[in-house]
Amino acid sequence: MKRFALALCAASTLLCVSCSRSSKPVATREGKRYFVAFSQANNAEPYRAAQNALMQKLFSQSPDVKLVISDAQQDNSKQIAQVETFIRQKPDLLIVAPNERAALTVVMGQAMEARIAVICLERDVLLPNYSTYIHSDNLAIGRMVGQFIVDHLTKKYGKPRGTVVAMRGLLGVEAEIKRDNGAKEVLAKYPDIKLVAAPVADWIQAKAKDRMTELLRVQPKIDVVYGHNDPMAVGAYLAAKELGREKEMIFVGVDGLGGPAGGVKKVMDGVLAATFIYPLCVEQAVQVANQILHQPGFRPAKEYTVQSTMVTSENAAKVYENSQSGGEQ
Amino acid sequence: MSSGQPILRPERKTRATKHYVGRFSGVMALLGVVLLAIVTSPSATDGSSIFLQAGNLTDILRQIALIGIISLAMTFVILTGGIDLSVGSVLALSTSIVAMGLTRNWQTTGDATHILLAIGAAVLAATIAGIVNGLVVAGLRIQPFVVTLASMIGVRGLAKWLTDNANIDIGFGQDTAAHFAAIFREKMVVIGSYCLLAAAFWVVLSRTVFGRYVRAVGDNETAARYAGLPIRRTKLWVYSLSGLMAGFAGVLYAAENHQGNPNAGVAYELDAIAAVVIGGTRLSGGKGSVFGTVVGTLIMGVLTNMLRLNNVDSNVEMMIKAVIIILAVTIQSQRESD
Amino acid sequence: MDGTRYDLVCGQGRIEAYLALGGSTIPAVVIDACREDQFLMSLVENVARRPPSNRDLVREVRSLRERSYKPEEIARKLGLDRAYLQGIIHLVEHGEEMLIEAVEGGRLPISVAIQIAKGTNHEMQLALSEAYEKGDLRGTKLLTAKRMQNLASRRFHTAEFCNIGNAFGLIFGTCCGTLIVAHPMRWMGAHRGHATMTDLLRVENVSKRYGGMHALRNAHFTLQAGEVHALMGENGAGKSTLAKIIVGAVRADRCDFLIAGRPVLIHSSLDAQRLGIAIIYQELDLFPDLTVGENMVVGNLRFQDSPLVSFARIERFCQPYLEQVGLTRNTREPVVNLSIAEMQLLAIARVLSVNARIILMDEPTSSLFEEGVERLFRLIAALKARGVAIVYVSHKMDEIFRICDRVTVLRDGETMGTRDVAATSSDEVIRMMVGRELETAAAAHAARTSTGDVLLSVENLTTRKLTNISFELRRGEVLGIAGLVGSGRSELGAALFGIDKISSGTVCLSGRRVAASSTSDAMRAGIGLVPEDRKLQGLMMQMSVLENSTLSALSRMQRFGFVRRRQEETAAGTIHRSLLLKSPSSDAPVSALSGGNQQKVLLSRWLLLNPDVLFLDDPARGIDVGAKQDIYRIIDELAAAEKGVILVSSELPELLRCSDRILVLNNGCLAAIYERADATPERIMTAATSETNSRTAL
Repeated sequence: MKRFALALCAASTLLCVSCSRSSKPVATREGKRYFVAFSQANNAEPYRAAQNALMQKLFSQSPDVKLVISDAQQDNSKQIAQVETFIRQKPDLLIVAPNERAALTVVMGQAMEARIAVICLERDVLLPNYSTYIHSDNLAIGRMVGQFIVDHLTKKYGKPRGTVVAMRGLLGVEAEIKRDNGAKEVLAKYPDIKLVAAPVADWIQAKAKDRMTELLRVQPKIDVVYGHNDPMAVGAYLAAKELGREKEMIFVGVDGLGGPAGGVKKVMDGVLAATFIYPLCVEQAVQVANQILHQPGFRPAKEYTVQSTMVTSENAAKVYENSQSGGEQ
Repeated sequence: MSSGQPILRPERKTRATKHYVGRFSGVMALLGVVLLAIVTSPSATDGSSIFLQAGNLTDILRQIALIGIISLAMTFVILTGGIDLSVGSVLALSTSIVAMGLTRNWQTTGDATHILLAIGAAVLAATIAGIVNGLVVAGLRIQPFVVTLASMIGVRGLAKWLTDNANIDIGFGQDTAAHFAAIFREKMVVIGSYCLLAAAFWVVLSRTVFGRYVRAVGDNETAARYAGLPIRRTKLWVYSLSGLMAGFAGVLYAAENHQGNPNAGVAYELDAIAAVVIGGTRLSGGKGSVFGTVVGTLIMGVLTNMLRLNNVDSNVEMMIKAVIIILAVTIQSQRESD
Repeated sequence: MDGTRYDLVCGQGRIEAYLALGGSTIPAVVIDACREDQFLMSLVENVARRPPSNRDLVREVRSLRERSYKPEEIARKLGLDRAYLQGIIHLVEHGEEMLIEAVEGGRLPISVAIQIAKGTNHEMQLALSEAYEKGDLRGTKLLTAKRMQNLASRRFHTAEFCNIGNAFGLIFGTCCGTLIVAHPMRWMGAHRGHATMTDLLRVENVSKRYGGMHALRNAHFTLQAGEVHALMGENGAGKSTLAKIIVGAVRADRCDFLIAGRPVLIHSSLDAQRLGIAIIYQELDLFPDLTVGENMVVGNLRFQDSPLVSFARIERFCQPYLEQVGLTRNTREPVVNLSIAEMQLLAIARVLSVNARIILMDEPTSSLFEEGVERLFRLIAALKARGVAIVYVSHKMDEIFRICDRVTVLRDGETMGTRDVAATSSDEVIRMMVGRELETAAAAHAARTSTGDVLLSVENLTTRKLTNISFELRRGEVLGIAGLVGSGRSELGAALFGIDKISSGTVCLSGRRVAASSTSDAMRAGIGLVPEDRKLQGLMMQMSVLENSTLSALSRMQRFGFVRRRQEETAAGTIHRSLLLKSPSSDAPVSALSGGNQQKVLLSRWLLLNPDVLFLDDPARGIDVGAKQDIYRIIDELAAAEKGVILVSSELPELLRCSDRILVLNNGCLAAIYERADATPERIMTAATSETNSRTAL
C-alpha cells in the first residue's frame, strides 16, 4: 500500500513537472510560431550563463519565437543526446554551442540532414555541419593582449622590457591555444620581454591563486600577469595581494563579462588593469536567427566574426553600465 | 492493528505474492515510465508521438549503451559487496589510448589490423587497471571503496599524463581513425554490443559456477570462506571484468565523440551505480540480477528522454532522478523487510 | 468494596470512552492508557469511598481561580481538603474540558475526573495490586483480550471511542462486579508468589523464544538487597539472555518484574537505568574511540540535566567513581589505550555512576588477571556492604563459592532451583546444571565398534587460542569435543580447516601431513567443517536451498564453467531426501526455512563434498528435537561409512549420545579424554570448569 502511494506520488510529481514545463511549438491563429532550440555546453560557466540570459532577453522581443535552452553540463555525450532529442522535435532553428569540436560534429550533421537550420555558436566543429558559424577571434584577442602588454611595459620602463607570466586555461582547448599564441606572436618580437612562467590553472580562479602563490615564491620580479580568462587573472591578483606584491605588477584578463562578478567590474575596482571582451556573439546570432526565421530565402554567410573590445579604467564604467542595461557590451 | 498479540497471517501466500511483485517491480516501474513518456510525448507534425518514433527509441538505446555496458560489470562488482569508482577514469584512459593509437602512423598493413591493435591496447590497459584494483582489493583486503577511489584519481592522472591533457581529435577524412569512428559510432554497432554483452553477463551470472560464486561471496563472505570458495580469484575476476567493460565503453566513447578525451567519463561511475541500484541490486551485495540492471538503465534512459522531449530543465531532471533513485531503493528495502 | 460496580476503561480515548457510556450512574473508574503492547495491570482506588460529586464545586473553583484566589484561600472558603482541591484546580487549568463538562453535567464524580486527569500509570498499577491483595477484587471475572473485544464491540460502538489497536492496554469493564483484564495470565502471574518485602527484585515468568527455540521458559528468581546472587547454567541455558532481559537489552515474550514489591516494566536500557539496574557485559560495551570520561557519561541519565558538556564537567562527574574502582587514568584518555582489565574497571565505574541498586555482571572475570579479579571481589564486597544487589553470571565454580550468597541454576531456559551457597556443594550445582540427561544420556547410544585405522592424528597443535593439543581420530569414529564457550573447541576446527594459522604441531590425515593454509586446501585434503554459526559462517541467506547445498561441490558439477543444473539437482535432491529436508522447493530462499532445515542444508553442502573427516561445530544448536534426531542419525551413518567425525556440542547429552570418545577442552588446553564408558556429565563438567590450567593460556 505504502509502496503504491509512493509510486503514485512520484508519478504525479513527474507528470506535473514535465507538463508544466513542456513547451511544444504550436501553430496559433495569429500565424506561425517558431521553435528555437539552443544546446548550451555548460550553464555553469559565467560566460555561457551570460549568453543564455542575453539570448532569452533578445528572443523575448520576438513574441512568435519560443526558445528552449538545454544544458549539457560539460558532457559531450549528454550534449549529443540532447541535440538528438532536439532533432526529433524538429525545431525551426537549432543553435549549438559545442562543448567540444570533434564530439558534436556528427550529430550537427544529422541536424543538417534533417533540414534544420543550424547556427554554430562560438566554437566550431570539425566539419562545416552548420548553416552559419558565429564566433569571435581568440587569436586576435591574444594579439590585442600582447600589444597591450608591450605598450604598458614601454610606458613603464621607457622601452619594451620586463617579465610576463601567463596563466593558462585548460590545455588543448582551442580558446586557450589561440589566446596563448596570439599574445606570444606579439611578444616574440621583443626579446627583452621575457615570458618567465606559464602555469596551467584550468580556467579556475582558485587554481590560479595556488599556482600564482607558488610562482611568487620563485619569481622575484613580475611586471605583467596575463590571465587567459578574467577569473584566473583575479586569482593571481589575490595571491599577489596576500603576499603584498600586487602593486608591483598589473593583471590583464580576457572575457570582460558584465555584472558584479564579471571582469569589467574588476577593471573598475582596479583589480585588473585591462580586460578584453570575448564577445558573447549572441546579438549577432539572434540577428541572424531572426533573419533565417522571418525572411524566407535568406542565406546567412558561412561565418561571422565578432570583434573584441579592450576595457580599461577609462571605459570600464561605461561598458559596465551598458552591460547592465542588457546589451552585448 | 498494532496489538501485542501475534496476528496470524497467511504467511506463505503473502510472501509468494510479494516475491512475485518484487521480482517484477522493476519491469512495472519501467512500464510506468514508458507509459508516462508516451502520454506526455509531444507529437510530430504528422500527429504521431515523437517518443515512439523508431529513431527516438534507438536514440535512447544508444544513449544508455555506454553506462549500460559499464553497469553490467558494475553489477558483478556490487554483487560481491564491492564497488568500482574507477570506471569513469578507466573509460577516459581507454578512450585516450585508442585515439592515440589510431592517430599515430603505425605502418601496419591495413586499417583493420591498425584498428584492432588500437582497440586491443586500450582494452588491455583498461583491463590492467581493473586487475590492479582486483589484486589490491582481494590481496591486501583494503575496502573496495578506498582502492577504487584511489585508482579513480590515479588512472585519471595517467590518462591526462599520456595525452598531455589535450583531446586527441579523430578527424573525418579517409584515414584509419575516421574509419574506426565511422564503424563504432554506428547506432546498431553500439546497441548491438550492449545487447550482446548484456546477454553474456546474464548467462554468466545465472548459469555459470563463477556467477554463483559472485553472488555467494557478496551474500556472506565469511560463509564463502568456510565453504572453501575461491574468494580472491572471484574478486580479481570481477574487478578485471569491470575494467574490461569500462575499456570497451571507452572505445565506443572515442568513436561516438570522435576524440580521445582524458577528461571523459566524469561521474559515469555514479550513473552506473545508480542504474545497478535502481535495478534492485543490493549495495551490500549478494542479491541482484543483470536483468534488473538492464531494466534500471532503461528506466533512467527513458526517463531522461521523456524529460528532454518535454524540454524540462536539466536541473529539474537531476532532482527527478534523485527521487527515482530513492524510490527504487525504498521499494527494494520494503521487499527485503518482508 | 464488595458489590461495587466498576467500569474500567483505558486506552487511548479513555475520556471519550467514559463519556460515551452516557449518563451512567455507575461509579466509573477510568484507567490511564498504557503504551501500546505494554501490558496493563492497573486500577484506581476505591471510588465508592470518595465524597459524592458536587457539580457546582467545579464551577465554584473555576470562578474563584478566575478571580485570582490562591489555593489556600479557596480551600478555606469551601472547606475542602487541599489535595482534593489541587485535583480540581488541575482539572480546571489543564483544560480537560470534556471532563469538566461531564462533571458539571452530573455524569461523573469529581474524584474520578481528577483520577482520569492526573492518574499516572504507576500509581494506578499500585492501587490495583493493593486492591487485589486486600481481596477487594475477589470474584471478578477475568476475560481474555479477544472476548473482551467482542464484548466491548457488542455493548458499545467501540471503534468510536476506543482505539482497539491498543488492545493490550485496553481494560474494558461494563458489567457489575466484572473486571475485564486484557491479559489475565500476566495479571495473575504477578501475584502468584507471596512477595516478601525484602525482595529487591523479583523476576517471574520470563519466557523468550528465538525462532522455534525456547531460550527461556518461565524462568524466575529473586534478588535481595545486599546479596551477591549467582546465575549458573550450561552454555545456552539462558543465563545471558535472562540478564539482558532484566536490563532491557532484549525484549522478553513474557516477563513480570517486581521491584520492592511493585510491578515495573522494563522495555529499554533507559527504563532499567531509571529503576537503578545496570549491567557489565562480558564483551565490554565501551566505545573504544571515545575518552574514558565520555564513556562514563554517554547515555547516563544523571548527566543529562544540562545540554552543555565540557571536559571539566565530565571530569568532576567521573572522578569519584574512578577513584572508587581504583582506575588511575585521565578522563580524557581514549579507551583504546586501556588494558582489558582497566576497561573492566571503567565499566564498573560506569554502573556506579548511574547509581545502580542492582548490578548484573556477565562473566566479569573472563578477561581479568589474578590481581584484577581480587580487586573486583573487593569492590563487590564493598558494594554489597552498601546494600547493592549483584547478579553474578559465571561458569567458574570456585568464584561462586567464594563471593556469592545464593545461586540460582538455569537449565534449558528453566529455573532448576535456588540454593544458599553455604548449604550446597559444587557437585550439587553441577548436577542441577546437567540434570535430567544423566539417565537418558548413555542409553540412546547405538553400539559401535571403532576399530578402524587412524584417520587423523593431531600432535602438539598450537595456535593463538590452542596449546599443545594432541589426539587421534579413527575411521568410523565419532570424537566428541566438550568445553565451555571460549575453551577453544571452535578454534580447533578453525585450525584443522585452515582458517586459523597453526603456529606449531602437526596434523596428519591418513598418515600424510596436512598443512592447510586455506579452507580450500583443507577441503582438497579431505577435511570438512560445518561451522558453529550457520547464519554468519554457514549459509548465504539470499540464495536458494539448492545453491547453498551445492556451493562447495560446484566444481564437480560443471562443464566449461557452466553449471550442470540437472546433475546439481539430482545430487542435491538425493542428499536432501536422506536428510529429510523440508523445503517448499529447492529454489526457495534458504532464509525461508526453519532453523533445523537450514542446518540440514548446511550439512548437505558437506555431505555432497563427502570429506574423510568432518568437523561438526555444534550442529544441533538451536534446532528442534526432530531435526536433532535427523542430524544424530546422519552422524551415525557417517561413522558407519568409515568416515571420521569430530562433534563439538554444548549439550552434554548430545555428546554422550553420539560420541565414541569425548575430548574435553579447557581454556585452549586438552583437559581430558574419556572413553564413552567412562564419560559422565559430572566428570566432563569438572574437567571443563576446573581452574587448574585455565590461567596458563593467558
